[in-house]
Amino acid sequence: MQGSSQPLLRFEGVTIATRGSDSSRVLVSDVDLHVSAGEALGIVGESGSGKSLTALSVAGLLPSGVALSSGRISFEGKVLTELPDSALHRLRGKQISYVFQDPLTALNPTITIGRQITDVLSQHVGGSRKTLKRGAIEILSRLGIADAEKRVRSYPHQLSGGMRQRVLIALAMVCKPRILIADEPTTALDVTVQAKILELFRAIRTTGISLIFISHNIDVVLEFCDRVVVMYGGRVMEVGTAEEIGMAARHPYTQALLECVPRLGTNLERLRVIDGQPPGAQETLSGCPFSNRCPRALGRCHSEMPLSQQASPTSSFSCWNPAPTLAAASAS
Amino acid sequence: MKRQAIFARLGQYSSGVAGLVLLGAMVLVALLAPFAAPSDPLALDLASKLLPPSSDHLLGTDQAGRDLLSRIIWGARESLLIAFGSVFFGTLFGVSLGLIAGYKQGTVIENVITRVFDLFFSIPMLVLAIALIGIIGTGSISLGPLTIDDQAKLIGLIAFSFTPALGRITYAAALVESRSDYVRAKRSQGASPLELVVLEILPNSIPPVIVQATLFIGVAVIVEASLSFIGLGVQPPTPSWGTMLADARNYIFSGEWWIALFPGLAICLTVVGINLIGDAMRDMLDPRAGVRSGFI
Amino acid sequence: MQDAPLFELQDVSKTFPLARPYFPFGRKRSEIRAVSNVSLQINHGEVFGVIGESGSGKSTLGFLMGGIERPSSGSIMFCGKALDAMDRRDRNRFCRTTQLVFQDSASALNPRRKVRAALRDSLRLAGVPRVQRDGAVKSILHLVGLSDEHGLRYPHQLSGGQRQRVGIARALAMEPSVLIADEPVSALDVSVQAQIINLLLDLREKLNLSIVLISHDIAVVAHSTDRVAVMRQGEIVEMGVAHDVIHSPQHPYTRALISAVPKGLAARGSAHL
Repeated sequence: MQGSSQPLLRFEGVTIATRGSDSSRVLVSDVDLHVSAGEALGIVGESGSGKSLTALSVAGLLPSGVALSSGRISFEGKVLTELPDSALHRLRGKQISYVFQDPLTALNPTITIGRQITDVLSQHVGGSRKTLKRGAIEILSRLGIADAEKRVRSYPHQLSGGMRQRVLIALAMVCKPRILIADEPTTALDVTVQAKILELFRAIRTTGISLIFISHNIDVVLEFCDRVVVMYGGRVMEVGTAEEIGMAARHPYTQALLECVPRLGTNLERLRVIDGQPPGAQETLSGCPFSNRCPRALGRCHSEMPLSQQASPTSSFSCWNPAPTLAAASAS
Repeated sequence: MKRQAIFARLGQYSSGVAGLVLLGAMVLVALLAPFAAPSDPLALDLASKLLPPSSDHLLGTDQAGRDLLSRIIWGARESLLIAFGSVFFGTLFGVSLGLIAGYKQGTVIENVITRVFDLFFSIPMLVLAIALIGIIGTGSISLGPLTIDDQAKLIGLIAFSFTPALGRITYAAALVESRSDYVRAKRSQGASPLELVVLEILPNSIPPVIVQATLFIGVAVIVEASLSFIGLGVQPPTPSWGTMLADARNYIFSGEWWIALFPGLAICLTVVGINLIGDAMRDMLDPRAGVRSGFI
Repeated sequence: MQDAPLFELQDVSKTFPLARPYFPFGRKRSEIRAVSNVSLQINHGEVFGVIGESGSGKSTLGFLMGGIERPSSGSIMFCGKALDAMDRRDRNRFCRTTQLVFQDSASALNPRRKVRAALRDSLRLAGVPRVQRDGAVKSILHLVGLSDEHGLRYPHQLSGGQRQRVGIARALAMEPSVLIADEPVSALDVSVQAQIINLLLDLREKLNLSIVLISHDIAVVAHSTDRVAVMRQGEIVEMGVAHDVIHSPQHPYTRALISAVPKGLAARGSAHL
């Protein structure tokens, strides 16, 4: 979208593994991706795809025992992986903000939401209690929470899922970050609420914030994001613009995903299926992680991870035996 | 979890192993008291009173000439018996009441049980114990035809003071587990309340209790020692670490340091060992160890 | 008996009392009306879908039909017999023949019991004699697409899809004629969802089951059901043949639901970013 020379955030060859004493398990392998200013990048993946770890690694939020084992992450040209934790801490919340999936556990259940917002505000903005409170009320109503005056005194469990998610987004937006990383922000929500939250994200994007939107729902990602990364088993399978992924996907996994998502409008007796299940955390994989489920798997696929090849200036995929592009667009 | 698995995992935590060693040593010594003790702990020998540690008496003698080492070994028996016994019964009653209260949420029973817990919880354990002994009296007591000896009485008392805490923990877990889908599913398939509570709810409510109960063993040692120290616990001449400390009170400043130090050290090592085990168990009993798949 | 519909609900409501009010001063004890005057009919061998968002009462409706909850008012008839008028024997038979499959398979299985043990328990409750239980466990596992080896694992050692199959297996242990599946695939990966739905449909054919499929995911329901009811805040706002409801929704709420479903690339034409 915006043709800035340098991307805002860039991953180069990032590999994340557990830091075991004797054995170490690779969880995310050789990830290259980038987000430009003002762009919305979608990361699609199922469980075990490594998408959440990839997101957490940006601000150094990986859980203990898990760490970057190679590669670099740069933000605005600065290499994040070389920064000490104190510098990262200053970036978190200010420039790089997160919105997580489960708003109930992401909010402190014993503190009112008004207080949680004013706490963050006071740290970064400061002011008297009254101004802080007014600021909190204003943020809440701007984000679509009705009756914000009363709501500031509510506790998280008294709000609906959609409202809680708005509070989380409010907390993330308080300091006007440059990039917002949302990990499955609408997954726990009802469909109608999800639509509203997506509207909210769209509105947020108009302020020029970059967005990484992680979801297992490829339709949400296709509808909403500029570019899409498809991950499976800790690796990037395919990258492209939303149109390219939606209509001209080459990787068998992407195609299978697009086909087997239950959608309104297709008239199938039985839903299309991908047999087997995504790799669990326990399994280490050699070769392409999708090879044991792939209808187009060659012998080579099981032993050698395919190299990434460009399909167009804006898209690439990693497959030894890519499929011809899907003739028809995804349904409806 | 199988026994081997438990011990294998406990071994992963070196502090837990250290704790096991400490406690194990004490328990072993207590069990082997008749063989381990060099002399009769009750044998008075006023000629050799207040002797410092020497080759004859490894830890010295007390004011009545009794060998300190033997007294500590026999005292281990006393103290550990009371400690383990009280935690055992406290757990038994606490868990039972907690399970009932948690399963029967919303009923009068639940209210009664939790209020009783709250009531006794609000009284500090030691104060409660002192008050109760003050009422019941020291030494063996007789309830009509029954004679309850000193030890049993102490065990019962200290167990009683542990029951609310352990009951509360169980109650909290049982509350959650009783509402869970797997209990609901089984109940809808026709399982009886007893089966539900014992087979389904209990195993899932027990881990935090085990940790707390383990830590309570150490507390029990100290409670017994404290009670004995002030004369309300084990009655002389039966040796227990607390009574030995009580005796030692008079000799701390006059230079016979060994009379106070060694019993105190015994208590300290035992409790430290127990706490180490308790900590290790807490880490160990989390069923989801390792990288949590939710992050991927 | 086969003439009567499988389920017939007439004006069924269910209210739950809230816990003691937040403010202890004189507020009346408030209630939640989870299900409000619901009337519907489900036929034998049908796959009936219940669509709704959270708070719509769809799960409660499932529990009412499954006998786990009792209605506060109205009547529920199963094969022509009213539930509250059933004697003990009929009631037991009803409980056995309607089985629930829960949403969150992680909490629907006892985390400290192996799969095999849990299935054996269910078989015991179903009255299967001890000698036959092991064999029955094996055949049920195979029926749901799992292997014997899966029986030896704990729930947390299985993937979400596998756990859900175990949940279905547990229900099948009672040899039901009705499966009430409450959000059976919501917690699963997309590439696995279809497997479970297809499994349910296969089981329906193999075992002659009727299925009540409760979900918030319209697309899932649209594909697998014969008839559908849309619920909102405890009430049914629209009901009918699945194809008709989905493709020509009458009620504005149904329309709103359908339009809120992300449509992927197709939606990009209109939305500009």
